[in-house]
Amino acid sequence: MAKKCRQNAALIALTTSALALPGINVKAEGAPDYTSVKYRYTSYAEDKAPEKYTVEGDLERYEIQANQIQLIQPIGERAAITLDYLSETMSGASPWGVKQGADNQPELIMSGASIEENRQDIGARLKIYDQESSISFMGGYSRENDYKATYGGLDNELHFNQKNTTVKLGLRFSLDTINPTQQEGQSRVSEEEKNSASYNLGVTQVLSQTAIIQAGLEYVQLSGYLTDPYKLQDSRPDVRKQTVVSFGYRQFIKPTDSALHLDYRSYTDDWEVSSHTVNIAWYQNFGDRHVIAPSIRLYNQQKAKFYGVYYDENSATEYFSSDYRLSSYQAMSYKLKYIKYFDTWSFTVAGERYESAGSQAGGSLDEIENPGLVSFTRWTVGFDIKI
Amino acid sequence: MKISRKPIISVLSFKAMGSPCKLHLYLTQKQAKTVPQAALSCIRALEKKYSRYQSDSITTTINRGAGSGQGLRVDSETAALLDYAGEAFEQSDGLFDITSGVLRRIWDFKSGVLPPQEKITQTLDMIGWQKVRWRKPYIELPKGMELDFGGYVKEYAADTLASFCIEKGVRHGLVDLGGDIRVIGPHLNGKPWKIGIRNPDDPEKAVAHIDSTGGGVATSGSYERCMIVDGRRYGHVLNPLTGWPVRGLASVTVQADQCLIAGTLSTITMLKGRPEGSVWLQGMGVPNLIIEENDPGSEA
Amino acid sequence: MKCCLDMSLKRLSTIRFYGLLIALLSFSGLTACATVEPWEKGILAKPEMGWTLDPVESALESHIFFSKEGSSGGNISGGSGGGCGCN
Repeated sequence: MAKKCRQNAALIALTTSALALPGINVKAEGAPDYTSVKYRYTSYAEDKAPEKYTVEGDLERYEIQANQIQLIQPIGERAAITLDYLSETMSGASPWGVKQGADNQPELIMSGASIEENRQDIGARLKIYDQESSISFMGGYSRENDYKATYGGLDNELHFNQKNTTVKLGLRFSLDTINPTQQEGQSRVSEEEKNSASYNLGVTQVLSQTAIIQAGLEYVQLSGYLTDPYKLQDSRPDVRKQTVVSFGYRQFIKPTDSALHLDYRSYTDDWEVSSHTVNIAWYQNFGDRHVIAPSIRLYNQQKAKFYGVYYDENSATEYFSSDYRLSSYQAMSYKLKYIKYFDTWSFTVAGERYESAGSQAGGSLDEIENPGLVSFTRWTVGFDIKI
Repeated sequence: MKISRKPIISVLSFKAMGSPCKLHLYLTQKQAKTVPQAALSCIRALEKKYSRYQSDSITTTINRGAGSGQGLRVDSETAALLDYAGEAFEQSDGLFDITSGVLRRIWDFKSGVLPPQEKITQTLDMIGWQKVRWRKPYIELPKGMELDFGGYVKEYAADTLASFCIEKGVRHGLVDLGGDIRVIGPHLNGKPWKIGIRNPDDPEKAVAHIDSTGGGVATSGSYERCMIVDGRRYGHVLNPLTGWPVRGLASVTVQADQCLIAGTLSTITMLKGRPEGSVWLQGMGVPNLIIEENDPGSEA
Repeated sequence: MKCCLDMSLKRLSTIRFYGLLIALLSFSGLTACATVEPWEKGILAKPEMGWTLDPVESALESHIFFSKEGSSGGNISGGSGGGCGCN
């Protein structure tokens, strides 16, 4: 009595009809059937700027306190709306630029201590579930004193092969306006625009009862004012084309009641920035109520073609930046997360330590470590409630 | 933390929808406290909702409104069941018909007497899904007609019960509602369930076994009730187009993803008879076992 | 404090990844009949088997990496809102 693959049209018609029945179409795979509220508080603090190399400005770098609330509300049996609200308060100094010091030693110029700034971001997503597909519409608005962004997007998921294969297609756009804070002695642009469009394709495949894999491809085009208005001698092209390839793998390990997460991302763009990111996480269950998840993230980046650790007037080019973000460097972060489940709610706490260092392999000028490279510590606590 | 989390088999026997039923479930100690009782309430609720005999069931309410000229608004589950009946009616060229229950009024298998043809002809006027006004979610029956969900609600209940248990975290088990079976998952050791198929000539004995680790199994047979008149056997499966018992097949067992689908396919095959039914079912590409009636003389 | 790490990640060409993606797509096609049945998906439905266990925290985390690193994207499972991340 071997099971045949090709099915008769009558059988398909009957099955389609049967799947509309509530007792047959198990809800667990589709739309949420309860309201849930999630709250997260995050404290983020960057390490001090290196005293040895800093010649101007404040050593205390960025600190952020963020509050996030998410509400998921089912609408009928086949749709759900998700509302996200974020409010973050930022303070501290940030790198303005790097100049050439004695013995070619880079010297960091930091901004002065800033006043507190606030960013608020509100977003909504409507997801509509069908038997073999789902579609999501999303949009949002983010505002801070010098930057506004209006974003939106569309996601479409198509299930095949009894939901063992899922293809996801997504579109995103963002329309941003920059109004840099003006400061005496600095000449900054007054208002500029920046847009982005992103297209992504993902395929998810169930491999077995305990393993699932995902591959994704994303293309992003940024255009407009891509220069950092606060950096000294910063001038970047007005288009940036990014390509991202990603893989994810999840494996459940029955004997130890744990789940292994492997994620890999390869990034390239036409500024010649490229990076590899690996994330490995282990979710360990202790009974039904406790989860402890250590994870490690490795990041390795190659610099942009117009990056230099400091500006050299003698070999000035059209584009230039000494932003540490565009330098060649490596970063590693370790994270530990704990979740405690109660009957109708759960509590979570997570801590993360991120450290970055320049690539010093070559020893040439390009390879000098940018003194602006950031290291930070983050704490997040929060709870989820099912209503 | 020291409580064993290993599930243990528990068997719950009860009677529902006019048949002996059994739930074989591997349950943890925690699940064992709640799941069987909750599952029982789940089946009782379905039984109450679709029973022909209960005065407040949806079936009785729809049937009472026959000929009133007013549509009755039904809930989404009933609507989906009616849509399914419509689909099965279409796919079976009118043989799977939930309005055919009225034939039972004239066919009394205990009496040993055949109903007169004119009475059958009269009754046929009150049969036909195409005569029902079904404008989702409103249903309206013409005068004299009746709906009966009995032909497939037991199979649907087996699927519902299995889904319910899966939602409660049960991963190994089998739901058996009077021979309509839905397997939740294999035995705890991964071995399949052995499902016996009754011998139509000796229903206490199994003629074959099916191994299943998941999905539905259903059997239609004419052996449950029948009568012999003038040396000819008349089974209880009635053709809604002719009003007469169908002939040719003694029992049809089908394995499918859902018990409901298995049940519908076996019922339609049974109604189509021999040889059409067998040919039709082979075209479905589902595992099946057909036992033909051993009396060739009974084929009309 | 400096972190001494040597990531032996070899630079792989993008083309090779497209190749892998196509291979995965065709792999899905080939295994169309070797399916995991709906009732066998109990483990896959566990929250820790999802792409992101905590989408709210992940959204902020992605935003931080987006702000502090030279590359971004690849977060198929969700968007991470707007914002400059200039500082």
